[in-house]
Amino acid sequence: MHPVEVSHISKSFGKTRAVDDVSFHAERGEIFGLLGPNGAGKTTTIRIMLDIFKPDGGQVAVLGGPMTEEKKNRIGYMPEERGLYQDIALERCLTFLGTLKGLSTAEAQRRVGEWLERFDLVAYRTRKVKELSKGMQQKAQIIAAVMHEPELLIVDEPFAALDPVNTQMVKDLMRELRDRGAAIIMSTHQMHQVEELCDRILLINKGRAVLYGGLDDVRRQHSGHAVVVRAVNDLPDVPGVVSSSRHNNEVRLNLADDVTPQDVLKALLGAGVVLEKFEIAVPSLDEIFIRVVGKGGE
Amino acid sequence: MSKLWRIAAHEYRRHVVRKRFIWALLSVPVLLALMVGISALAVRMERDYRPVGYVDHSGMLANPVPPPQTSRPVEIRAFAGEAEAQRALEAGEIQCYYVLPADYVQSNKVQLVYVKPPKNNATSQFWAFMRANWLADQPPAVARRAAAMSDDDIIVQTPDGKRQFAAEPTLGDLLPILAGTAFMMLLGFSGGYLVQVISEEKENRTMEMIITSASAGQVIGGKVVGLVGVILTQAIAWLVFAAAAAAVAGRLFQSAFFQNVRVDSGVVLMLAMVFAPAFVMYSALMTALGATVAEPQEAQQVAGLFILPNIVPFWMMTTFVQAPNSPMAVALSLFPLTSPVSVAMRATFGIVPMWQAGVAAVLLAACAWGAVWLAGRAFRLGMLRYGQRVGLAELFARAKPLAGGNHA
Repeated sequence: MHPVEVSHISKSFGKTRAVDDVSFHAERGEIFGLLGPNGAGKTTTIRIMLDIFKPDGGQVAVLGGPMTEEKKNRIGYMPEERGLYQDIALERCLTFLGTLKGLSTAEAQRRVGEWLERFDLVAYRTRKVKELSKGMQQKAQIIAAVMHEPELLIVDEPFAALDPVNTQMVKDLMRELRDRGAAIIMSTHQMHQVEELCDRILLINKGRAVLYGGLDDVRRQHSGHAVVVRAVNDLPDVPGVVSSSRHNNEVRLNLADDVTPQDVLKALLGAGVVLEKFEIAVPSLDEIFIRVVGKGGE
Repeated sequence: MSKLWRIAAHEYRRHVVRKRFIWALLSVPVLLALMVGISALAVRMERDYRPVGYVDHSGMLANPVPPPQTSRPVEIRAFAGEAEAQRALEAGEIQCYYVLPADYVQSNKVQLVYVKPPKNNATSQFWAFMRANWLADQPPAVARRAAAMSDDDIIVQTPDGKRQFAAEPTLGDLLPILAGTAFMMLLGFSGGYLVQVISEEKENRTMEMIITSASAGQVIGGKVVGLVGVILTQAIAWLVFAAAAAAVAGRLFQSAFFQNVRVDSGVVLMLAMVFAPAFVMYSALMTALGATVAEPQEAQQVAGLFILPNIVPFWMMTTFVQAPNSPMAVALSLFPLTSPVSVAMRATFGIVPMWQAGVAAVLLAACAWGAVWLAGRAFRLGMLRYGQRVGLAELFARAKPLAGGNHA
């Protein structure tokens, strides 16, 4: 049983179909990327998972079944928009949110102290939340989401407003939680973060799932029949290459259908070319995103 | 501790330590102290307890009857002649003296001599002394009533003797209407708090965090319970301050008004029956309002409209005083939005039949139940609708299953 199993869910608001027949699952010990352009239906999907909205159709199983009050204590959630009490002290705010996740007040205070230390926020513990910078509030929001050591963590744009140092800190934290066996669902627009962190992804566009699977599989599916080569000397004409294009000091060779990359490699080596790089051309996630979303999700 | 109580405790702390709350709490005692202080000063300036003299040439006061008892008497001192009285006046021993001429009984004219006009407490005690002597040959009961020159001795009492109303009402007599006024003020404060809290949390997305940690029932319940705690704190503090002010005023002014605070337990029960569901109803309506409007400022403005019906009975005060059981007064007592203040007013100026209070309480309880249902629905529909209103049609549309069940 996976921590999250979403099966053919759909949800409409008025005449707008926000989510349309979306299915996926998230596994323990993985970071699952929930991607899509603005208004694609990511946040609605998250809210359905969290039982904030009921789906019009389909089913959601979280931590082994329907959402219950007890399960809410085992889930961490960080919404895209910061949701902290603005007019109370940071430490008090986090302690309260910790107690709502089932921690005793003493335990919540202890953990808040540790997390503030780790995120370099100790000096701001008595400051009102609204007096903190956006980055600090973002870190506080992350603390609120993870301090009770959730089995399932859902984070919406976790790197927004973070500087590179704090971004790295949050990435390390997410890997740490994954290694401890938590399932993490991350919604973001930052494709390079997805490439770096996620094991599997779901791309939603206009409410529908348009890409789903392991990150490598998805990239391989969208790779063209081509190789990227960087050589010390000039490249000779190679049989089976139908066209080529140069980008900086690399050359992309587009292959004929009946030619394999191994055939090209063999031919290049046979021609005495000294290779610095030879790889199957795989598009970046950014490119795949633009290509898929640009096509309207076909 | 359950999440409902955690939310309640959080809401309570969050509001009680706010400057706004502390100011609201302190405003009443400051106002009371100011009122008592100014009144004390005014009374002090209007009182003079030095003796009042008289010179009697008519012989009417040859064997004077002593003046009626008062809490702080002014000595009525007899002088043999004007010269002696004048010396005492100039020495400041007396504040004035009266001269009763030989034909006083026929002319009913007296001469008053003073340096500075005598104070009211002195002149009123002198004339009470005179009335007592005029009526000295009458039976004591007649003399006492006639001397009082008012209906002071007439007390209207309910058949069971539990409630009475004298010509000079006391603080105890007016407590129901004062309770109604305080209830209206507390509704204003609490409604303001609740509508602000809900709409702010909706606007700044805190609600999204909270609702993924607790059920909608726990969230709404916790907020209302926390708020009731805030209001009770405020009410008890005000009550203590008011009681202290009444006690101080009672001692300071020797006033029967402040010294008698006896209240009929039946009236207290009646008010509790009506106030409790009314508070729940208004709290729920405020929750619904906070969840449905787009912005906190808009919520604050609309919240005032909900409190407005409570002012209607004050506009119709004359009706309540003259005919507390008139059809209009009864109708306002039964209409849920005007019921609490109307019942309090009628209980002040008349007798409210218990069955009417019971019907009002039942109607209020039904409306409170409906308001809680509406609040729950509005909360679930509107809590994540940022910057948008929830329309009435949508609110009352056939209920579809909504998330955030009512696990309490």
